[in-house]
Amino acid sequence: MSEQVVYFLREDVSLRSIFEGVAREGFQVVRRAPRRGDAAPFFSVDMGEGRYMLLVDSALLGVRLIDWKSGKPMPAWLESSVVRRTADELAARARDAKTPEEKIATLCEAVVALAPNLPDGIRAVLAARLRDSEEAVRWMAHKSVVTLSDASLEQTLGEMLAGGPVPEDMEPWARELHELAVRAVRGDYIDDLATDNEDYLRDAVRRDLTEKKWRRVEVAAARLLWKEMPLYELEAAAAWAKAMAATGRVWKAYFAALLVSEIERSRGQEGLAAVVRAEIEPTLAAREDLPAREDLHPVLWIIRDRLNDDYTAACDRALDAMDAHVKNLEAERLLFRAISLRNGPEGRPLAKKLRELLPGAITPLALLAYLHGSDDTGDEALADAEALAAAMAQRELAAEGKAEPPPPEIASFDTWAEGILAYQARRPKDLIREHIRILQKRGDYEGALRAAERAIAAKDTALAWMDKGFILTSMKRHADAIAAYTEAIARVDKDGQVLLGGSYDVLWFNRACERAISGEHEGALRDLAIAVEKDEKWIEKAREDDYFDSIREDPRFEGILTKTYELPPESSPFDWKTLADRAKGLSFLGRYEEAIAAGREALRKAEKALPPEDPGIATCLENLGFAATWGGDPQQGATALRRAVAIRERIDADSREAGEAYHHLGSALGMTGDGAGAELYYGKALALREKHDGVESAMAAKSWGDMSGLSLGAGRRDEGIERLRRARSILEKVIAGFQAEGRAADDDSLVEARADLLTVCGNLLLTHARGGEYEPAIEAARGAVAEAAHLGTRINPNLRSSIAQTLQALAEQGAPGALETLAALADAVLPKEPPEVIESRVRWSRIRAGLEALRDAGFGDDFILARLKDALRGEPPPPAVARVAGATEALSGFVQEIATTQGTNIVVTIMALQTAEAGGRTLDETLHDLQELAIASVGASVENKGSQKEQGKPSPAKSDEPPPWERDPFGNPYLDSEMNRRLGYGDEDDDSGYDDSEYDNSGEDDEGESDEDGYDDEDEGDDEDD
Amino acid sequence: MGLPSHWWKDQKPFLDALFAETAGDSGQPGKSGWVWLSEQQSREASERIRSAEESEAPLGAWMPPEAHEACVEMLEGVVPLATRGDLRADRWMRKIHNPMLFADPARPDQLWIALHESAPPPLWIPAGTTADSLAAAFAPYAWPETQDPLPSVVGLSRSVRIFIGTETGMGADFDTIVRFFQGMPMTDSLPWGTRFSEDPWPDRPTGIALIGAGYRMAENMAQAEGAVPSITMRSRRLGAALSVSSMEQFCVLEVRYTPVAHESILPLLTQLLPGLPKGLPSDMPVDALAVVARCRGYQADALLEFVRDPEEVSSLGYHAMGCLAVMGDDGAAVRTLLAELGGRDDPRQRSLGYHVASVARHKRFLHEALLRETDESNVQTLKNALRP
Repeated sequence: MSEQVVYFLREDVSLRSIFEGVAREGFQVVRRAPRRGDAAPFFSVDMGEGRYMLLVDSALLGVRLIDWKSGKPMPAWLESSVVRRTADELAARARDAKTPEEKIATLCEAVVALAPNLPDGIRAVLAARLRDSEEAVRWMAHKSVVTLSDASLEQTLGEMLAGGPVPEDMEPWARELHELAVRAVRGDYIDDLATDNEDYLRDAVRRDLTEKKWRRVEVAAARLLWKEMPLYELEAAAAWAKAMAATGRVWKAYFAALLVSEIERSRGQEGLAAVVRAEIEPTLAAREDLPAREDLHPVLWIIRDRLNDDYTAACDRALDAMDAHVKNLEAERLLFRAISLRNGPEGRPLAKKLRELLPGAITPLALLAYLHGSDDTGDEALADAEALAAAMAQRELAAEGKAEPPPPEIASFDTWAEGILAYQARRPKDLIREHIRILQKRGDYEGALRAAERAIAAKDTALAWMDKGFILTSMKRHADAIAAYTEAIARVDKDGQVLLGGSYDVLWFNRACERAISGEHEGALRDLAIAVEKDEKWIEKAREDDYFDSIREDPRFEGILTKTYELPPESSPFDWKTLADRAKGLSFLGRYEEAIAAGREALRKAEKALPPEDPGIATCLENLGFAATWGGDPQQGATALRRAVAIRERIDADSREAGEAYHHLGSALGMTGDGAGAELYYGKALALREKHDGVESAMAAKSWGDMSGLSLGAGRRDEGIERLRRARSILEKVIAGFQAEGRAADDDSLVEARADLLTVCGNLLLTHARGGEYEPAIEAARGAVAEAAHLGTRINPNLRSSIAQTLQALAEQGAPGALETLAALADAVLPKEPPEVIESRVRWSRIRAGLEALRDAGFGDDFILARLKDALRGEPPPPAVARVAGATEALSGFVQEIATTQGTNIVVTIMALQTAEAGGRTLDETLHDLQELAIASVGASVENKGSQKEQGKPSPAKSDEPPPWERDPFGNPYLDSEMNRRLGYGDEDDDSGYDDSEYDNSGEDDEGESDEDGYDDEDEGDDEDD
Repeated sequence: MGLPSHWWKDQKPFLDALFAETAGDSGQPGKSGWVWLSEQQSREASERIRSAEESEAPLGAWMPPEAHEACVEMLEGVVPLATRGDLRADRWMRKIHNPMLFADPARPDQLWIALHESAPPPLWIPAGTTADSLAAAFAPYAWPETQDPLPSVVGLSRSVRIFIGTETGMGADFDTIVRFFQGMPMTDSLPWGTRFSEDPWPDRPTGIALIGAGYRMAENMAQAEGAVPSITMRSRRLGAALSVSSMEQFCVLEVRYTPVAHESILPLLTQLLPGLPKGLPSDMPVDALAVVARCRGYQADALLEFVRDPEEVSSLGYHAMGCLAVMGDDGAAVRTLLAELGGRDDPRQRSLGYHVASVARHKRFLHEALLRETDESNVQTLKNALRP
């Protein structure tokens, strides 16, 4: 055996010269450790022919060495750069060192070269150095132990502690660390394995397997093998089997190795697990002990993986092998074999055999119920399910002391099997409702109901009541079903039982169905809202379920399903006034459907609560009529409003309220096309508004504005314009008056007047523009823009775009002032875009220009679309395209814009391009869509950015401003003074020292504190094999 | 029938021969992949280059201001002759590549290659006068035209480390500094952190990989636990790797590269840029050199000289920490620095050495220092720090 030789790099040899030599030799550096603050750098160099050399540079121990893993001699240049030492020489040098300096130097050399498993000679020296009388020597020895393996650490510290007096500063940590090392060597230090990090566990299995730390192997492998979502881990299983074998659990090892070896064999491999099997199997027949029930747990892997097509045959062979060895465990063998067949009918005879073998046991009954499968409603399935339910009920009674307990061996088997069933099939308690389900499927509702009531009598749970509710629903006994669901709901929170494969939300949904069909509409809506709130899956179900036909027309139903309707708190009063107010509020919010529903309900309640001529009824009718008119049903609105007007005329014909009723009716009639009727009622409304608010009031202006619409609609253009001007004139005065009163800019009345004036001016603009009267049109537009400047983004977007479009059309027609007014409008109302968005718009305009150039060059849109798709795939443009100025930039710019805007993705882009190719949209429309998507994404990104740093996004280099580091790094007076201050140079008065957590120079101030190692010695050196 | 001759009439004779040998059909790449420009195209290219201040890669993005005037002067009269045809971008398609072959009447004996048309003349690669010399000059920068895989970063055999200043001194945090380098014309846009010892990005991201690069950015820029924060990116033509790291805020630019012989470039840059780090090797690829040219800084040897210079003692701490940062993984070099500081007469200077050793985790040095140290305050501090 060749002697271990270590090559230390001489300190005067530069790292660069080594790498240059490596390059000259044609070697290749293949790995370079990350520059970690807490790990020694190392480099792996591939020398070809599968040979490697390692270069390690340990800062901790101040040594560089080369691990020369070549059978060939070192090249001369490298030979001259190293000092060669054998392990014996290192030990001798360390042992013979006299001065503290020599002791430290030789110890560091020896440890760095031979760690982690120190030979005896060096270990003895290290143990001695740990007790050295010189602090620096023993403290260096203390630092160096972190490089040792568990075994070396345990031995070294053991020798140190046993070797004589231990200095006071060394003993506490040495004892503590020794204890840990002992545990680690024994392999029962497993605290680190309590992790879900599977990579860590796999690493631990591999590492600990080589060190034969069986306890750790067992724990780590088990965590991998029994995890929640298991995927078979051959390596972990093999390791686990080895751990079992090594710790004398031969049967467990054998059963664990069964599957691994069969799988390996099916792959033509003879791996380690097969060896285990080969070594163990021949010994089994001669063993005195027989396998125990617990030994069979690894068989679960076999059963689980039998479903994996790749493993089925191997699993069957493994099961056969198992059978041959577990004659003493007939019940267990039957259980495993039956479960492995899943729902196959072959399993049932095995389960019956088990039932005969273990009379009174739950397990065979549960297995039978499970093996029947969910579609089986035959007599046998029903009988088996009933038998299980009865047996379970019997066990419940036994648990309460009301019946004989089962024999201990039966109870023990059931307890053990429950875990197996839970893992591979279904737990018995999840199967006890099978008989009810079967009875229902067979249509025997009475039988099912009796079974459900028996279940409730046995255990009064939400689950039992829910079953009863289901049955009653099937029997269409709606009231009883509602009662059953109500009982179930009352028990949900108290019910410890978990509903397998579902949730209790169904209780609210089913009660909503039952209530809907029973005419309890409010309750139905409330239950439905609760169900939808709990789970959105009920939305679609509600849409499809004909139980809800009776409330489907209620807008609240759709509101609940679209989550736009919020049920008022159950305790709030549903009086007519509340509902009427709600209807009005919803109308103002534009939620007309809900407003109509609330309005109807308000009217219904008001009619019950109030005399027929009560103003309250008129109010309800007005709110309902308004909602219906603007909600798209002016006919219905007019009907309600006519009733309201009739009531108002009878009780207070000259009131302000009557005026409003007239106005609403006018609107409704106008929308139905009854211009004359509208004119009549608008007129009546105007008279009352003028009477109550004044001839030049905002309310009067509203009337004039609305009446202008009638005139224009009827072709009475001049009258229309006149009415608009009247409205405008009044509103301007009203606004001037508000301003004179000093009203705030956001005063509601002022804002409303401005909005009305903007509308009036917009209508004037439109009317004049249609008539080709540019001058008054632009004048009206300026009036609109003036108000827009005050209102900003509060302007109705439809109105804004209508004004903008009209101005754009005027500009195109060459109307003087149109463009400027349009620009002013944009300034006034468009939200200011951040520079990133503007830049993105510019880039897109370049893209569009480049693609336009392609069109100009005679390329068709289909061709351009195809090139855009090519560009997304990274294809360069063909030369013919590249020759068109700007085209290549446009294509690459397109990809770049798509690639760098997070909101746009390849799927959307390609779909958009494909749609365009198929003729669904034009190229321009498609580009517009993608552009807007990308720009919106840029905008969103700017908004989200806030103070967050955006990693990964290059900041464009600015042309004129040099980056800060172009200043000479030594020319910064601040930094110099700061550093000097820290180092105690600059300011003679300030010698407070280093003020640095890394290095505390204050000396005695820290004496006595427990953790004073400012030099942070965590984990040094232990990553050299990283 | 005579050979085709080039349209540029002020040419040297070699141009006709080169043109005849390497020109393809109009607009098509010929031998060695260059697409020769017509006179009109050349004029357009000149115009484009002159207006490069408005482009994404203006002169200021390539060169520090002190060289701008010289660069503009050098551009006078140059003639764009050929391009590489189809445009290429960096891996994230954020920066267009358009290498350009130039004739320079002021340097007429050979042609010059700019790795991008707006690269300033001091960064042009001498291309010789023949088809072979032209091909050889461009060969190290041919990727992605070649289908070769990108070189392994760890296998890049040469390296240069430059201390570029501290985050405080530069007035920029590490992320900002990294973004600056990412934004430079001669870096690739896909960076990675120390969590990866190799480039985690695909060589040629296309389609979903390209679109998804932004989403993977944070993950790929992650740092290894306990690592000195460092971000690496390839150079633009992807043959070199540039890492920016910050050790205790002392920032270092490391360039790892495969050597390329361009001996005339560095002397010219050195002449134009007095702040260029001293002692740079002359075999750096031009795309990497273009990044270095934007920085001022010092290599380890120069910093060690500052440490040794008694005149510089007022900035000793700064120099020492810069030196430590730039020495990086080179343990022997760090030990030279520590020995220098540890051997000082002034106990405060020795104390500085202990601080540096502490940052570098050179524990053996500290224990040996404890044996030697005579200043009571330092002894006490060392004991407190080293006691188990």
